Amino acid sequence: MSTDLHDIDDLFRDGIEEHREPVPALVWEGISNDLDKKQAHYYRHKYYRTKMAALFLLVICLAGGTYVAFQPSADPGESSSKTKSNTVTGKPAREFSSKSPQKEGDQPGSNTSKYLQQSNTEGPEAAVPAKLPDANEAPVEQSLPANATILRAKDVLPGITTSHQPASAGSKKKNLNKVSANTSVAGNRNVSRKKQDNNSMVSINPADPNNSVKPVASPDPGFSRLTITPRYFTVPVFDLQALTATHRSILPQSAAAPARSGLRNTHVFSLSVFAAPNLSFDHLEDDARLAGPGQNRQDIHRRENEHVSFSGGVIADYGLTEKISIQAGLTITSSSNTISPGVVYARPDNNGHTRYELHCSSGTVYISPKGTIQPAAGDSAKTSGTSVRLTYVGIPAGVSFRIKTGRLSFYPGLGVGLNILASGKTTTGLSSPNGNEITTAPVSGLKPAYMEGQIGVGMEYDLGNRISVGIRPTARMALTPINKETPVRSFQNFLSVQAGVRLRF
Amino acid sequence: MFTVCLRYGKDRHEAEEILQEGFIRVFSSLHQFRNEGSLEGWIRRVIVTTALQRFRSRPPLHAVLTFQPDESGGVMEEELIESRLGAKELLVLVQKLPSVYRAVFNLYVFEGYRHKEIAGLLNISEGTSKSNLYDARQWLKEKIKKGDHQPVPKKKFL
Repeated sequence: MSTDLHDIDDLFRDGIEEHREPVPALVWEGISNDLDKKQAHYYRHKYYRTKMAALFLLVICLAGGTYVAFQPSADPGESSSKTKSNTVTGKPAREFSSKSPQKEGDQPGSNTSKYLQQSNTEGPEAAVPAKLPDANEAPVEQSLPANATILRAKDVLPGITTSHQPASAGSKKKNLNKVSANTSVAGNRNVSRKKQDNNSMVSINPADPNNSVKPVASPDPGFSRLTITPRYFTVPVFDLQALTATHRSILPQSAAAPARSGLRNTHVFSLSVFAAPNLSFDHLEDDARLAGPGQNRQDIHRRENEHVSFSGGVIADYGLTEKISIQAGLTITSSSNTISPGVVYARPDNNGHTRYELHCSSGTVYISPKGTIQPAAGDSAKTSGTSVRLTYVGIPAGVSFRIKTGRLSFYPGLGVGLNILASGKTTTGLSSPNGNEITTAPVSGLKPAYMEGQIGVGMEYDLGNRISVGIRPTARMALTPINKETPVRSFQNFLSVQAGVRLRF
Repeated sequence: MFTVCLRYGKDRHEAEEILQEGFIRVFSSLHQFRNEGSLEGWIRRVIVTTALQRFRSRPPLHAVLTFQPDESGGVMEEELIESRLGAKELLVLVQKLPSVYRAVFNLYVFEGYRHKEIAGLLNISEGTSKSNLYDARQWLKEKIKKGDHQPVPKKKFL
């Protein structure tokens, strides 16, 4: 050390550096207690994003599972109506019940058999052309399936035509197989006799040498049996659309319904208007560089109270397929919270103006008193409370799966949204040298936009063909913080219940 | 580490708070230690950062040190000064420095930072850092010469 203490740095460095002071036991106790709390808090926040991603996947799996579970099972009637034009699925017997039996001695029309035999049995079902038994002829023995009923041709006339032409070898064999499959099920059955009808649809002339159906003698005149040889075959052709239009009742519901709903749901454009109360649950993270005592997430959580916020908007929906649709729209969300009373200190802001500084979860607020006395650096003032209101205009986009059960439909969906800051301002009650006053100030540090993920399950009820009402609980989770260069990063999350009306076009 | 905290705090109580807060941060961030240096050095850096964050969170009080030249001529001899100043006395002197001077003095003398780095850490200009260090040295010299550890530097608001 020199006389004028030029080496004062060394004096202090050497004197203090090796010095050891015992740490009070109270400090270690405090560290231990705080660590327990911090550990719990740390692990609660550490896997936040992982938990959110897991939640996303879980809901997607649930939505997929629900979709698979509610998907209509393959209906044999539906498949048969789609795959072949000459078959009709079963129907309750009363709708196909036969009329009064044909009287004995009626004229055997050469082309007068107008009956269609309809089977209710399982397996491939085919309309079988039949010939009306004639009293003068030998009884025709006909093999029919159990529960066979006879449908009058005029009942289905508009949709049924006949194709009387020599069948090709392949189709002939196919048709014969179909007929024989039906006729061999139950053996000989008593067939109710029908009156002749000139509205013939299917004609089998036993006298025609080309006809493949030949009468076979039977001891009982009431029984008939068709023996079919592979020569020529009359094939009834069913036009299902015409049948559906004119005689919808003869078709089973399962065959008709999907076509109807498919026409209605595929490539349907709709517009929804909704409003929703939102429950806010912000997630805060400390910025390691800027956070400190009084400016960390614990302090902010302690000071701030969140309120129910509201959102509303218009969503356009376009059906890509019967089940899947995409959405986009425009929403507006307004959220608010209050900050409890406290003391604020004046300090220069980024522009060099000295104003009272208030830290909140959204960012930093620089409060300028309205009066003539402006604060100097270090001055303090009391706040009687501050309310923060943020308004965002959102552009959501998503996809949803629609599961329809009658008038009720469920549509789980997910998507993302871009929220653009419309306004962020605070209202503070300030007790300064100017007296008590209410001041408004913008929030500094807010980003112009942030991204969010949305996931929800909606329920909708059709009021008519074009209008439906519904609700949709939705979780909106921020993917990016709403602020930057602030001690605490804030992720705005909402749990909202959207209620609205959907119009289909 | 407690000595480091005593240097940055204005009294023992604040030093204990810094130590507690710093060690909580050490345990919470232990997974971030990448074994690239000594653990002691890493812990020390965390403690110093914690102390600086406390400094930054305070409202900015601009202290001005005033010097009153000793006209009595009673300057203590070098050996006498050295024998009388123990670590505790030196710590008391450092603690009596205003916070911004204390921070600059600690960062420059004990941590080995340059003025440019100190300016960045404390959000002040490089010139202010140099000026504060000079004032802190002068004030400490004066107090050591006078053997006066009691008076507190006068604080002024700019």
